[in-house]
Amino acid sequence: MVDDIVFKGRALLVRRGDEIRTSSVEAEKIEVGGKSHSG
Amino acid sequence: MRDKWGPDGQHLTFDGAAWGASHQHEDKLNFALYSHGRLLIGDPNIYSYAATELKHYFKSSRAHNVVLVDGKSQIRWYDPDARLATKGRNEWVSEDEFDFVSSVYCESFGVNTFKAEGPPELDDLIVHKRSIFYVKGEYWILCDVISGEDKGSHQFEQMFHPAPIFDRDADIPMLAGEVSIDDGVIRTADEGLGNLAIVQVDREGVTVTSKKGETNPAAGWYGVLGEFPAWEVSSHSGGAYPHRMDAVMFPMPPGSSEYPKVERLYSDAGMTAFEITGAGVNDVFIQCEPVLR
Repeated sequence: MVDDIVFKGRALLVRRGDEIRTSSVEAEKIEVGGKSHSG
Repeated sequence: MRDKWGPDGQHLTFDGAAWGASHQHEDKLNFALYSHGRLLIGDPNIYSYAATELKHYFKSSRAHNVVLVDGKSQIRWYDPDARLATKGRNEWVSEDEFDFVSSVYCESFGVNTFKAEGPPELDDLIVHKRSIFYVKGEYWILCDVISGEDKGSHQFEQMFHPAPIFDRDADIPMLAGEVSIDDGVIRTADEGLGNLAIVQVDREGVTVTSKKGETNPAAGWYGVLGEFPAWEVSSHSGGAYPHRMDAVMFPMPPGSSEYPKVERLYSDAGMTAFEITGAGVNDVFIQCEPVLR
């Protein structure tokens, strides 16, 4: 199941475990499942 | 890019540099990959400077982990400016959990034939952009986009050179090892050693071929301890520009042949997105590109 992802930037890795973690390059906006993320 | 220092670490070296003033190979965007105590994807190097077909091969793009377009190699040898400078932007980001690199080859491509008469016809409208995202301690994501100006269909070869097994103390210090190809997955399959699975994101219309120790034309050689027959693997695909070839490169520890499934979510000229699941991974990757041409 892929969560809704909103991303504005260069590259994004979304890691889905007990909690969502993100790693990004030049990110201006990251939302996964309606929640904002940074990193 | 690396997770740590030492023989139990992982690292990938990437070439985004000028053609150079010595050891001039047509290999911009080439890489070498090491994990689980061995080199898994290598640079075939060069053994002899005699004017042989194999020397020509070792210097060519075909002998590197790059992309050929309609059989054409990168060609920079004719351009004196390429000795000290290269074109295109390089990117490098290193964080605790990942490394990211990208570079562009936007100099010339051409048919690079051994003992060709006269200089090759050059195509300087092809642009190859490559990026690699490294999830530290785990795996790499390789993204290639080839752009050009015409509307025709083209053939693309994404090259990989699985490194031979080297053990200086063994009776036979070099072995080519085993390579398995199944449904778009290229996998080294060497018992008792770490291995690598290269999982193509798009498998429809893609064929994978492997060659070892062929001549006329040369294919599948390694220039260490002599001119050694070694695996050369090509992932072939076709289509119009821009053409995308994405893959996940997943190292596996000794005794494991488990690698993740990769499913395409979206792609166009400016964006790629896919899901990587299984083998302990549950990730989504998205990358956005500026339009090159």
